[in-house]
Amino acid sequence: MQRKYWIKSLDKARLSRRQMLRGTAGVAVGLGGLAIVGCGDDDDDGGGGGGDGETNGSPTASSSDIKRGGELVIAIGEQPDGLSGSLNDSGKFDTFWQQIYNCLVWFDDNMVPTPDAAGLAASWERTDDTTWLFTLKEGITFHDGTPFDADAVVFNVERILNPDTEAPAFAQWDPVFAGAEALGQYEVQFNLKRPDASILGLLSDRGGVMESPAAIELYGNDGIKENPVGTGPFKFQEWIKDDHITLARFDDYKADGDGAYPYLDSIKWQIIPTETVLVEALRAGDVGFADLPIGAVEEFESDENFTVQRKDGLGWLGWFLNCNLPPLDDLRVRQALAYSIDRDRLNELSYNGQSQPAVGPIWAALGDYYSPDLQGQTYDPDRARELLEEAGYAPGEVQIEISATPPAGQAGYGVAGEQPEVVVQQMAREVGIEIEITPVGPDTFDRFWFVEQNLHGYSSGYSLRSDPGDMMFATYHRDGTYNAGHAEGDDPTKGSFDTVSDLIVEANSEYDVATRKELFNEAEQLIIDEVRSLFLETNFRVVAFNKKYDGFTFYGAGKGSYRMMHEV
Amino acid sequence: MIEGARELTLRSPKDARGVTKRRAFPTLRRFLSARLALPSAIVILVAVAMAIAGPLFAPHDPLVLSTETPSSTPSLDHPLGTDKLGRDVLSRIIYGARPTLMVGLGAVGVAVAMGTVVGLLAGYSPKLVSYPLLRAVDVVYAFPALMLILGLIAVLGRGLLPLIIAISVINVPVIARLLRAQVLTIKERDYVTAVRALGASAPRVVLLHVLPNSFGPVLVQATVLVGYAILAEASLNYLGLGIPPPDPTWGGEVAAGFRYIRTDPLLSIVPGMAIVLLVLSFNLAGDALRDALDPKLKGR
Amino acid sequence: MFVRFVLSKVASTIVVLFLVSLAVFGMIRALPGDPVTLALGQGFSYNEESAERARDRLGLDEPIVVQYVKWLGRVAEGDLGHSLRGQGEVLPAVLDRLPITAQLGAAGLLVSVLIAVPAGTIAAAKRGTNLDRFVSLFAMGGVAMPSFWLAILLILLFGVRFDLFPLYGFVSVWDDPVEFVKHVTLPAIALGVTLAGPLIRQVRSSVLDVLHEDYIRTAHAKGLSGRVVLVRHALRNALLPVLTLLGLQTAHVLGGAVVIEQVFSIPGVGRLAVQGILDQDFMVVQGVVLVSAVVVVLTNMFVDILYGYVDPRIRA
Repeated sequence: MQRKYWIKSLDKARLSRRQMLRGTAGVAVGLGGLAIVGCGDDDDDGGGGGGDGETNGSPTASSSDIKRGGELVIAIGEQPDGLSGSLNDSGKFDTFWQQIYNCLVWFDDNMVPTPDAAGLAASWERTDDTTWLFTLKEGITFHDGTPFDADAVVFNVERILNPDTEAPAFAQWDPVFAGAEALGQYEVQFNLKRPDASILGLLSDRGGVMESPAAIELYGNDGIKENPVGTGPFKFQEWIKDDHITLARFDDYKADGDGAYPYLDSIKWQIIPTETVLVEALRAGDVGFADLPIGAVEEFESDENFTVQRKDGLGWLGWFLNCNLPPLDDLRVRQALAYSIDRDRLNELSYNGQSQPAVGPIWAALGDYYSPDLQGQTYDPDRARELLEEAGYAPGEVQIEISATPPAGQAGYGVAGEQPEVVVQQMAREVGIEIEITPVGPDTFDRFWFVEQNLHGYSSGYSLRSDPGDMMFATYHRDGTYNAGHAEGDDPTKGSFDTVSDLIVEANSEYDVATRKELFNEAEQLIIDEVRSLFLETNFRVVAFNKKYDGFTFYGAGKGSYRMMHEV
Repeated sequence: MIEGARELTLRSPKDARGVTKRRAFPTLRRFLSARLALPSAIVILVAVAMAIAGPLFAPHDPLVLSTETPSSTPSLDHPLGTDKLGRDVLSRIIYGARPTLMVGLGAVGVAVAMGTVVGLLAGYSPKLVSYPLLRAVDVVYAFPALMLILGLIAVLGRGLLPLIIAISVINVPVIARLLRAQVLTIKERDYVTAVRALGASAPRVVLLHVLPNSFGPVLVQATVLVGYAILAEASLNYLGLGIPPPDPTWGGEVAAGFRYIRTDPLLSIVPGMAIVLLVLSFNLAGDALRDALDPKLKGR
Repeated sequence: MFVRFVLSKVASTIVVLFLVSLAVFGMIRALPGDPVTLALGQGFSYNEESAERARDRLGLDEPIVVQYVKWLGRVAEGDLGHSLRGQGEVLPAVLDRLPITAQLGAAGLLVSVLIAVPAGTIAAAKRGTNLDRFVSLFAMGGVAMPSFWLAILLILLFGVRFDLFPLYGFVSVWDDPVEFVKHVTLPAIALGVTLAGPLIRQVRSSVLDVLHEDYIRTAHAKGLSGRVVLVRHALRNALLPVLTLLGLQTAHVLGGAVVIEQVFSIPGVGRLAVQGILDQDFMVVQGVVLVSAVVVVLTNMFVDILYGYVDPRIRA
């Protein structure tokens, strides 16, 4: 019996290779466009940002026809450190808190902040260069029954700005926000330390999450991580560590929509650490929803029991580099590393040809600020060898150590590629750069990266930003949180660190979009040319769910929302 | 019974002079007469040959990403296909034999060396020395093997050497207890008592009588432990704590390949079978060795 | 006599526990990196002030002996520290999961006994035949397979292909016995097969020992049939050493569970340990290692004492 089973599997394997060839051809024809092998209704034109057929707040069917009730089980590889939107800091766990909380500001599918999206502000305006006035949506309550009002906003803002809270957003907020004050029950004024155009971005990221002040007082900063209370479509019910997290429908959900959704009674994340089992559990129907690793995409697409949805242009995948740690402090070594990578080949091997080379730090989905004219890092192994020689290194003499996160798909924020770090490692080796890969846990990067700073690189990526401002600042400004090494100065042999820092601050202090874009693009080209990061591929996400369900939305940045999901 | 006793007692180098050769052959013949001993020996020898001379007959560099489309279908160029990154599977298995065996043999080698010293001391020294030694051995036994290895890897870091050390630590007590038991048995033997009565020092007795007599049982035990060490390495790879990429090991190949067990089952079955065969061979060889070295145990 | 035996066992257990604590403490101190960073974890919460507090709490400026004594004091009070990665207090986290691993382990042991006793007995009774060899080969083959590989094959075959068992998770026997059996079967088989190897050999050789005893010959002489003698006399007497071996398997069960729990997504102590290592949550790793060592040492002590009680010859 077992033997027969294998033979059948082999047949399947052959079939999938033919399909793969077809997929590859698609890329060639699409000429830089995305190879869409997925289902038709989420096609992306690959250019101007992630229109995936979803419109926030307006489900296609009339809401009265939609079946209510039921539970959706979502398989996921890792559990979060905690469920507090403001305190738990790894971007890969956004998928959890985004069901429980709302941010003050949210954005539409084109990553444009709008009150129509699932944010908590009804409108906002800049009253002068350093003050913004926010009017809140009315009648919204937290899961614990306490009202969401101006006082709650002020409480949350002051909490983030208090260094004792140790909120990850503090580093980005502190240079920008002076504080917030309640002007009325539903009116809040934000006072800025400097003009800053990125604040809508900041308020739609983790720092902008609104948590119940009563709950924080009740549970404290540690307790809130395990007893999250927000305004989101689902309220926290249970978390059995390393097993599952269950959320129940919040009947009074009012941040967006007409009150019809959420439809499901509950959603439950089942934590399944072994990828093979996770995929099999989805296939067998034991769970209803999961992110697919790249190797399983084609199979599920051809399986009529599943809906496969794909979201492109989620951000970039690549390596953050510590430009202050020898030998990467030498510009030529960093450039040699960038020249060693054949991004098309990497795409073929690790992403089945379904991604596309990343160009710069600002990705396509950030429409307004994305520039298609930037010159990306290119593949030129001979140039790489020359540069290493110029820098005085014999082949194999450059040794760097990087750490790699577990596959993104494990936590549901992007497709899990096939050992991309190993591909890069081998490509770099071929020009004479030896890379040691140290796999560490999801959040250990901060210890190695921020405190001890003894690693050369960190393989990860960026996503979920509606504004490039805080990302650019955090990663490439000399004082940025995610700028390992904090290299500074302008030195032709090392990099124009100060120039880039100044450009970013200038861009963030500027409210005119066109001027901002120009400044950002200038900084970007320097960042690309000086290899501040190794830009590899664009991130995309593929999810599959049982046809028993429908209504999944990628929720703008691709982390996904289950609020409109329902049984069929 | 009588024959076995003689077999053991005569195995000191002095006594064996001149007759060693004649005796070695029956041992070898007995070893080979055990069922499956010959195939086991062949499997082990092939693995060792791959580990030593693998680069000479591997068709490809195990790390180079092929320029063709990766395919697990066997072809002339890639007899076992390539993995998902287009690396030649056969070459990776051939190259993987070295770290796999280095972990197996290295860990057990270190364990035998340390275990022998500890075991001899524990068996031959006064209680003041032997008691703490024995309790220390108990301590290692107290930790679940894999958890102790995990802890040691946390301390030592990842890589071949830390792995060898971590796995050897859990094997030291096995050898130590075995040797101590040997010492205690042999200490009471008439001829040892006689030798001691003639004024031989303790170290001399140990070196000339105890050690040679313990050689057989230790070898048998070590053979089996090699198999376990290889399995431990495989498990650690699955947990993401084995030898870091890109260097291939058999365990690493299974762990990487079994994500594709449905679409490309060969990716994990080939290295998996290699592990099973090798570990099985070490176990069978251990049994055959035991029978050959100590015929009275045959069939037990 | 028996009291003295018990006392000596207890005494050596205390010595071993002391050494275990030394080993674990040594392990933490030997960890690479600054103990303060290790204790604080998150980069975001790392600042001079919190580092100073941690330094103070850990007593890092004091002599190592004092540090150890203080640490031991905290451990004795049940304070194994706080997880760096959201697992809360370490001791409660470990104790919460211990019953799950214990149930899985018990089921695994049961499977190994169900395999080993018949197989070993048959192998002994049919000694030297092809059946004997087949059983031996099976015993070795089970042990020779990487357990995660065997586990995934079981999942694919019985979970997916035949759809007989769930693919993941765990339900406590106290909550729902039926679901418990459903969930525990595959993991228990995967664990049991790896445990069965040594057990089969033990059963076989102790049955062989007993078969040579006089009373068995007497039984045969009395005209009892081979099977009756085998089951009623030989097996019964042969099981004592087997039971001992079984008791001593605690360490193997806990070790094996590390892998099995990972494959079958079971939230036991093994998962906790692996996740702790992957997250570099050394507080959790330390806690799991310490608690499991204590469990093993105590279990072994009870088995030894029990064995001594049942078989007075051992007490000597």
